[in-house]
Amino acid sequence: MTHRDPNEPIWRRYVRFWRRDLVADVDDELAFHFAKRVAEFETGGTSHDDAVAAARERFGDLDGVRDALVSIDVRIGRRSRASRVLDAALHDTAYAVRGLRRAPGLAASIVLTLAFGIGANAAMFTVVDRVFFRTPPGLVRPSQVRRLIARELGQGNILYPTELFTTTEHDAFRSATSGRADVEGYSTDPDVRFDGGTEHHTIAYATSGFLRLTGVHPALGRFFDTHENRYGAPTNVAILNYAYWLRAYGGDRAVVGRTISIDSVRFTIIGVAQRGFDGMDLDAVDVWAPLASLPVGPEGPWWDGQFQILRLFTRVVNPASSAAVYARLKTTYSELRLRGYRPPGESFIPYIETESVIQGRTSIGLGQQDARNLALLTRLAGVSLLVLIISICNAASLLLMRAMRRRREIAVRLALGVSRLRLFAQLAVESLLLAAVAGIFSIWLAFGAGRALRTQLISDVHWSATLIDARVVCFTVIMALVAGILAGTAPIIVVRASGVMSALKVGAQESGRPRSAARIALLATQTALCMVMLSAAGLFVDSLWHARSFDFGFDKAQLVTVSLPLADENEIVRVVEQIRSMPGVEAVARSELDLRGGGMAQLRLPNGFQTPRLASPQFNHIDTSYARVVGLRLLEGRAWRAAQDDGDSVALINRAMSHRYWGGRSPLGDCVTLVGGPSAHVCFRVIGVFQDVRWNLDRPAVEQFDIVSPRWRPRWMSSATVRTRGPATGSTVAGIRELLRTIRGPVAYPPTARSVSERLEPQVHPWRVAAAMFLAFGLLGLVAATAGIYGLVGYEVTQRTHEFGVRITLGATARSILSLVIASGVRVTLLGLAVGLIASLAVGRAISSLVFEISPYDPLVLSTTMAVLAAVAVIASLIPAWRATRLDPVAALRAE
Amino acid sequence: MELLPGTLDGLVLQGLAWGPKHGYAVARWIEGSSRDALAVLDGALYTSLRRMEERGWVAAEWGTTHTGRRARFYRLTPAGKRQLVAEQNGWADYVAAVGRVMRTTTEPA
Repeated sequence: MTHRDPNEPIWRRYVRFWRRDLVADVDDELAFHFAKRVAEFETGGTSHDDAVAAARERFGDLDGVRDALVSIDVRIGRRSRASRVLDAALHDTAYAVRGLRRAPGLAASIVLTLAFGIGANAAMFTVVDRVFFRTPPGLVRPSQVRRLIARELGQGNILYPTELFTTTEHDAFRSATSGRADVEGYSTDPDVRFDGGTEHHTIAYATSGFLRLTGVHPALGRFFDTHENRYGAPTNVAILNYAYWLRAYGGDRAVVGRTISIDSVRFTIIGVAQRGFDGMDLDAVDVWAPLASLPVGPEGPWWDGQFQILRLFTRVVNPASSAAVYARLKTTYSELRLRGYRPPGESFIPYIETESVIQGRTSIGLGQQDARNLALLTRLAGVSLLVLIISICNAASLLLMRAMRRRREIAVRLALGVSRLRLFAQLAVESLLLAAVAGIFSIWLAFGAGRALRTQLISDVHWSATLIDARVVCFTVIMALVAGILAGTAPIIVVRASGVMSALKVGAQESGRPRSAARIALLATQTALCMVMLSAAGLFVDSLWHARSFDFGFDKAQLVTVSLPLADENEIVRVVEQIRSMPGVEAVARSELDLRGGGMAQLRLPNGFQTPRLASPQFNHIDTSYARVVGLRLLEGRAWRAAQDDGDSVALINRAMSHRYWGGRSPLGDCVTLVGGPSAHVCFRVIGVFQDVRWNLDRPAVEQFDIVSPRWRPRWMSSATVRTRGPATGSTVAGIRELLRTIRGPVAYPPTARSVSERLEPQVHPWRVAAAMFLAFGLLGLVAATAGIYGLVGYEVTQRTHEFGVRITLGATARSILSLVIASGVRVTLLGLAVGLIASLAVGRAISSLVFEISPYDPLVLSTTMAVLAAVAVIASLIPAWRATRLDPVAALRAE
Repeated sequence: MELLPGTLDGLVLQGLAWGPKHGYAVARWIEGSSRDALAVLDGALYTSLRRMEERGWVAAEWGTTHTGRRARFYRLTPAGKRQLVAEQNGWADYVAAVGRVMRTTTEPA
């Protein structure tokens, strides 16, 4: 049992616990002092007790001094330990730099490998961070702001979310939660032009309280007020986005009070929004305007009441009551929807949920291909992690090779008494140093690659934020650290395993195990991951091919669509005639809607059946040449013929409609009427059935009903479809655009012309990007794996020189030596391929939503990938194997 | 005689000027060279040594005395030597200044 001084301060007990030697040292020193003093006094003749008392008196406050000494020692100890570590680190760094300068090729290849792995991830992070992790810049207390999402039951009894609401619903939400929460939002138009320019900009029409809800402040001027946002009597005022203000006005403070023309409507600039704030979602807003200033159609505000245009957010005044407020919103929406139209027998009650601003962001304000690109983005982020793992494996095996070569040196150092800890530290410093240099390179890489990713992947996002910021740098530093530690681990394991004596005995050709398990594991991992990426690349290439050769049901290569909204009929006729006479134009057809469709009509069929109100066939008015110009493929019946059909009301339907409503029977000659409307009594005779036209790769064809008429007048939309001679080129489209510019009068939405292949291209784009990126990553992985196999087999040949010498002397043929060596390379590859196959199946599952019209476990893709990798392994083994067959047996036998 | 505040460090540094000493030897040296005129508490001496160790003026090391006992020896570091010179000059200036004042016989104007 140890004696414990009851007066001892508690802290000293801790000091004693942690730094037992410090307290003991002080006590030893003082004991020595007292022994000397007492001895000194005793020589003067005093008694022992008196001498002790005198020495004490001479010393002063013993306990106080003792405490002071210990605490100073603690401080000194702490500081000297830190400086020792620093010294060692500096020394190790210098040592590592010297060592690496002697092997510049190796250092460069490790740095390059790691830089690529880290850079790919940093680049991905620049995009992923903005999309998935960052709350809108400038938004105050973002966790208290929730987005409203409605749940509706769709076709096929699928619950689908709706993020857009009508102004009526907004008013209901506001009065239901008045005083307890703010419910505000905005509606964007991503296709407006400012001051007659050609660049596309995004305008947001916001409710009066939206900017107040976010908590952002005007950087300049003011925000608009309720009285400026009255429906029917709006004040056209605009607030500029900070970045746009800098870009377009050079940050001129005198901008307030000036006017900006937005699609030829004049707005007075009243302020500039807080720096960084560009809305809640990824479609960055350039200008904010009052909701009431949304363009109005000929019959008043078309958007008021029934159109779902507003994305809504809520901020509860008192966070404690948020549950009650959300419940109130939920029931308000349900009541509202129950009051409106409901299909008979419908028991589902639509309701509202709230979710975080980020959660809903990925699907809002973005086109469908962008949504797909976001899905692709997460997979690319995953694959960039694979690239990092490969690059770490590669760096590790290079460092491992170096450690093996230096086993003798290491053993000598160990024998000379260098501690193992120091040795590990030196190896770790070496790999961390390489990773640090790689990290610097990778930031540079991330800058270029990140910018490319942003423009290639999500075009609707304006990405006003800077590309490289503190978060990206932080992420890169962490990545580099992790990569450095992981890559440095392999050689450390080898050093641990190698005994001093065995290593000292090793000659130039090292003995011991011919192949290290660590190297094989690294190489197999590399091969497996390489296979994963190449098979994924194969799936995407295949998907791309399928998507590109997809039959949309019309001649997409030769078509240009021209939208002619809200223009005067005589003017349209004139424009169409002018386009028709342009060189390179073969024909022009007119229709109400273009190929994309979008209209719907409830129909009554000959048997009296009415098509469902909310799931009726798509409806279009087309002129008599439309079917021919667009290239509809007639399956049954015929197109419009003047002799038979003029003066009659006729219609074309598609295969899907014929299939759904007529089953196996022929619809030709049957009468279809519209439900409601002025022409409800007219019989439209079905004269032909054409192959389904699709606009979207992902959606199944919907039923289509087209009224064909030579004397049809547009009601509210009008478009023309131009068929060019040969593929629709940019110059033809530009010519049409030039023509349209001349008629661009006082219309709210200017006419546009775009080639159909250009309009369809974004759908194919994700696969193009995916195929390119996965292929690039996969090929880089392949190069690394090939180099690895070559290195491993070459190393083995060097080690087994003696053995091969014996074999050749005993009569082994070149052929048998060759197969012996190649087999060793192929064995590792097969191990990797076995693991890779399983991993590829798992990855196939993860990317199944992105694969188009093929199985994510496509056996052809998988087997081709494996065959390619196996062939590469054989080729990589060939050179060292050939060297083995050329051995001079005598020299080989003499070799140590 | 009581020691003037701030002068102990200088005395200790001076005590180490001839080579490493343990704390007791420094105390004995001060007593001897001042002919027992200066009263320095041993505790204050050790605290001064420690403080100067922390500042990097002296370095400490365990060693054995010529009688074979384990003791902690202190020696001057290069920084300590510089400090010693500074202390010596400072003291000389101080003494000269005080001396001049003390020897003054005229009343100031």
